[in-house]
Amino acid sequence: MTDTEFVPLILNNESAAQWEVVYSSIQDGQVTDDALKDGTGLSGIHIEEALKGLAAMRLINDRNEPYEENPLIEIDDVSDSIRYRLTGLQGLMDEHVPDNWGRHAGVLLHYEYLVEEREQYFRDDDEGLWKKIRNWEEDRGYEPKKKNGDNYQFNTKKWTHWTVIADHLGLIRKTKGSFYTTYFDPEILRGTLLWYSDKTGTYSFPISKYINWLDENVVPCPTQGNTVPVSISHTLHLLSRTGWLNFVEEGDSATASLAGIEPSQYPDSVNSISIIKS
Amino acid sequence: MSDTSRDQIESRSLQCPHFDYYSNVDLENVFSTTAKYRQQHPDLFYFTHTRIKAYRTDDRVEGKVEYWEDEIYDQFEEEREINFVTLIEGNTGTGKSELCAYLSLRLEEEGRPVLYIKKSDGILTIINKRIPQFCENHGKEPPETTAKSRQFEEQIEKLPKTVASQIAGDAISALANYDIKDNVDELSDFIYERLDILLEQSENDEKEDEKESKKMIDEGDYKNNSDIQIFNNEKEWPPIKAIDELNNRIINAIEGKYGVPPIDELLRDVGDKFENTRPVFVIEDVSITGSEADKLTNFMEDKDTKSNWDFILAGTTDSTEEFKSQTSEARFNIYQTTDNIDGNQVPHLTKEDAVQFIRPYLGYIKNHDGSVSYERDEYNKVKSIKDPLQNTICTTCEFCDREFRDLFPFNENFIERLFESLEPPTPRAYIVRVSQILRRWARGDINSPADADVLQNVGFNTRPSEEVRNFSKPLTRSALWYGNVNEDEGFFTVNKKFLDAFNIIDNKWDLNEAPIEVNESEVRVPISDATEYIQRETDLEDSESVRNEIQKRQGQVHPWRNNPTDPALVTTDTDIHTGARSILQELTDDFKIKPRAPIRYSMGGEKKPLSFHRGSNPRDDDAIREEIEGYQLPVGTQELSLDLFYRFVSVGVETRFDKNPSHNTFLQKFGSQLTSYAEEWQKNVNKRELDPAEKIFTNAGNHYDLADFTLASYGLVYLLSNPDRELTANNIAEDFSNKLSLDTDLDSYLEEEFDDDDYDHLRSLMDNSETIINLMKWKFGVISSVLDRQAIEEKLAANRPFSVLDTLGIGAISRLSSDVQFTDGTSFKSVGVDLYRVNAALRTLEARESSEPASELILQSLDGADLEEIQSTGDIIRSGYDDEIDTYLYEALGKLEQLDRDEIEEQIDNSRLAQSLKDGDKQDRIQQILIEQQLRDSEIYHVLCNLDFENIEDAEDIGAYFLQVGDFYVE
Repeated sequence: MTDTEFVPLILNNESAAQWEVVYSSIQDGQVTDDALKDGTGLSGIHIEEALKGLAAMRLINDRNEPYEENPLIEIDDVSDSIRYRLTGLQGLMDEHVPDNWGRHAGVLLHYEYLVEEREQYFRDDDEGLWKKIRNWEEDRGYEPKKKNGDNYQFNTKKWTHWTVIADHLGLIRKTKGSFYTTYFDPEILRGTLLWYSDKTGTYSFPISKYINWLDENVVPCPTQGNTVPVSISHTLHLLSRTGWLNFVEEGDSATASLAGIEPSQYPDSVNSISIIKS
Repeated sequence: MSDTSRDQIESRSLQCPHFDYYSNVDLENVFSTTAKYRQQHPDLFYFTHTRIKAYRTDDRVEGKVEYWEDEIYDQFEEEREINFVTLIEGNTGTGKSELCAYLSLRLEEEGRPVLYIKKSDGILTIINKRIPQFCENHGKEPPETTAKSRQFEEQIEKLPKTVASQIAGDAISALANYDIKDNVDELSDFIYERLDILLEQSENDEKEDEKESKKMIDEGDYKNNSDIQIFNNEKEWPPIKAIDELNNRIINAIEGKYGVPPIDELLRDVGDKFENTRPVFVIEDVSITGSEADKLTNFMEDKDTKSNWDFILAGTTDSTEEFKSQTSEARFNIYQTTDNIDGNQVPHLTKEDAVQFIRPYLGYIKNHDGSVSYERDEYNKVKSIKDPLQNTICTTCEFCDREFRDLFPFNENFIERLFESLEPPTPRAYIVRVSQILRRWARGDINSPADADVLQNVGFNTRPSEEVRNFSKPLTRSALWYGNVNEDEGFFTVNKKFLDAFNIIDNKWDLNEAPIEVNESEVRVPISDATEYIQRETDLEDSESVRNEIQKRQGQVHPWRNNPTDPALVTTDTDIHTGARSILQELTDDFKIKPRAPIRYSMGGEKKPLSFHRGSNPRDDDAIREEIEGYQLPVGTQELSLDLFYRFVSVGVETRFDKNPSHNTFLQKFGSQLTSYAEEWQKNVNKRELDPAEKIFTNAGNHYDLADFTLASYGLVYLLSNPDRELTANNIAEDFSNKLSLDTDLDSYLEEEFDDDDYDHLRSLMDNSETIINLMKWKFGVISSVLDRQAIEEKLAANRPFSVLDTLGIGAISRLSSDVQFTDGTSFKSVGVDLYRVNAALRTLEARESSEPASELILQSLDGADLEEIQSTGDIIRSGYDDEIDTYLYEALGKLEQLDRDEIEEQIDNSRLAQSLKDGDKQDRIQQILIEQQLRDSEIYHVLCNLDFENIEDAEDIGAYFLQVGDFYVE
């Protein structure tokens, strides 16, 4: 059964932590509603919502009992919790296909707008912002429909709920009160670097190739030329200044630049990332 | 903590703990202005409801007769066999909707099926959606005609153009008697564009209620579109009449062509499905017009056939007119919500009762635990606030004065001034404004309600003196909104509690120098000499000097960047650090160690979280690390752009001038970058100030983390509150919403056994159980009060709580900074010391405990015995052999019989648990001691101890003995 509901944006509560709990329980063999209720102590509604979220992220196959989890991406030295998020982001990325948007593409399209339009600080009830985002998405042909064919209606509550999901997935970060910043979680970015490193079999790789791969597999990274967008550059910089990676010049791939980072922070002719092995 | 019908779901660190029991969405809902939401929550409805008195005017009463709402409700009788109609007329804001909501709620409570039609529902929505939904909700088959409506929907989806053209054709044919244009194609195109209205489906969004009903053609469409103005005689067909007619013809065409049933047939059909009750049809604000209104009226009036609907229709006199016929005055119950409906409208809410009106809305938030309740008058309006019940949040907290206990975070002055600032002051606008400000405050967006941006343009005739305005803006705003004006003496007096609650008094202030007078309970703020009407604070001169200062400091940023320690640039250096601090404070939500963490680093007024040093990355410079404090993150002056430093210096200057700068625009541009520094600062503080390996545990290396500390602390407090519950993940999760407090018997036992100092630590630990609960929520919480059982189970299996507690190092804990605090201000260190001391005292107790285990005696005496049989044996023995019975046995029987059997069984279970723990590890033995103590205090133990065993033969097994003796006597 494919998921016919446009779920992630109508999450009806103020937390998404139960998604991960339900996923772990399914992994643990609790594969029916009753078993999940007993095992987690969550209400039927919360479990149902979690199942919808997990199905949308393709972390479970479908919403039929017995539930069957899809395995997490294997990455050495990366915790289950981070791999859960990365697998979920990859699942959502499968929906993120221009001109053929999946129902749940809105989750990452909302984020892509923030990145592309450099919206870095916003409120979880900012009506003006979600309306701008919707116009932008409509221009790109993303018009999710309800079962009866009507256009899906967005509203401020749904925007608030999106912030809960995006926060859960590490795309934005809560600050004071109802404010968030657009900020990619460094632990998750570290996970992507190790994932890419596992894939390519090397601890050093060209920045541009890594960013393109990230853009195709994990999260939209709209680049201009060889510039790493601010959504990623500041988190990469954090990993570099805290001694987890180096920006280096290696091989003959094109030189990259990091948007928003002072030139003193990396070599002029940088083109690669080198993970510092601990 | 007190009894409450709600769970604590937030940890907001506000002065008033009641707000922790409401999520942001809940708070919005409490102030929901829509009747629908309040109606679904009767306790909220009745708490905030003002009783309505209306005037009955129909022909069956003489003149106008006053009816209270409950008397109107009493007119609805279950036994009628014809339709019964109640029509409510009144001007806007006179209580029609409230009366409608009251009547439908009462009828619903009595078990009647209520079909509630919202203002936004047009006739097609009623027919296609509301009625079928209503049937489904009450377990009835939807009318057969629903299938036709669905077919119609399918046709609209598949053949929209054909449908539009058929509807247009039929509608125009039906108007052929009039002088009209034959604009079928134009009308068809128009209908085609608007077919979606026919399929409109409610998104279950409360805002839906505020929408007007959608019609196929509305006034704007008609006036702006000459193609659909088909009536040639414009005088005879003014727009409103023409629109009604066209809309009705379109609906008739749909009904005719597609078999969508007319409303009267549908209602009759649905009514027949309810045999044992009378369904109720409520229209809160009628917007049905024309022929559909006629059909509904005819059906409502029909007394010839058996029909069973009760109707409640409310509206202005214009809209209810549609439902009146020549005979309706004689058949309908008609009420008016004001005495003189045609006269000038009496305002529903005036300045005089504005405060009383809002009290129950604000008081409701504090009602769930019995903290706030009211004496009411005959209208259910608030007369006065009652004293709080015992053991409620208010009695524990005792912060508020009686006059603002329900209003907090507002007071009467604030509410009155807010009401007066509204234009126009309608109840809806009033509730919305109070709710907006309250939510901004509860979410932590603003420190004080007086800081809300919606209030900043409000004008005042009297304001604090210029000196005060320059001294502190937050204080100025507090005086304006909360203060009592004493014009004669020339000052505002502000209750100091509000200034404390919103942290307005800065500990940097030199109160001898400040232009205000602060005493124990109030602050006197001088009034400006000039009595003027001020639209907003302009302070032109002030702004000018701040601007100049900013320019001057910005000019020094470049040299500072190259040499930040230059003594000539010390003010610039301070401003930059202050600015960076202010922005970091925003991004970390006041220096929390992680987003949503219940722990923060208390930064006082002067501390600088970022420490700037020349160069591009000073993190690995040992000399710098030595020089700075643990809470400081070293950052290179070359790491950040000049633009950022310009902004830092500007924020620093503004802060120095008490300007309260806003960071929104700046963070729009630099939010991502500065968040990376905020996160790095948090990691740095965690590592340097709270590293479990160094600051909490000894001899544990890196083995334990903060989650272990959390679970160990909670485990201890849990066990002291529930000594007879096993410490398992399931028990912890199941009991999590129960309050934690020291078992009363244990309390006196431990008070005796512990030395005074240890006992004080025990009390302090239990008093801080809320902070430990918050830690649990942070580390193991999933949603509301649900915990992650799997995570707890794994932790418990890996590290037993008391083993973790045993590695707490008092030396390490003592070195923790007192600035690492829970969000309520309790220091992490003090909780750590409490835990250490209580654990050590329990360890000592365990080592010296030598009392005879009570569990042994209980089990020996009663395990395996059938209590029911023992007690009935007692009856038999007494009834037959009263004079032969052994006196000691007689006494024992009497005492045993008085005990509750469930309680005895529980004590037997607890005894078994205690016995099973006695050979376990230290955690088990401590729990055993706690259970044994509970058992020693139990009645059963006392009875068993007081039995004179020596005088009862074979008394070793009293259970078996009773049975044996019983057998003997019965035989």
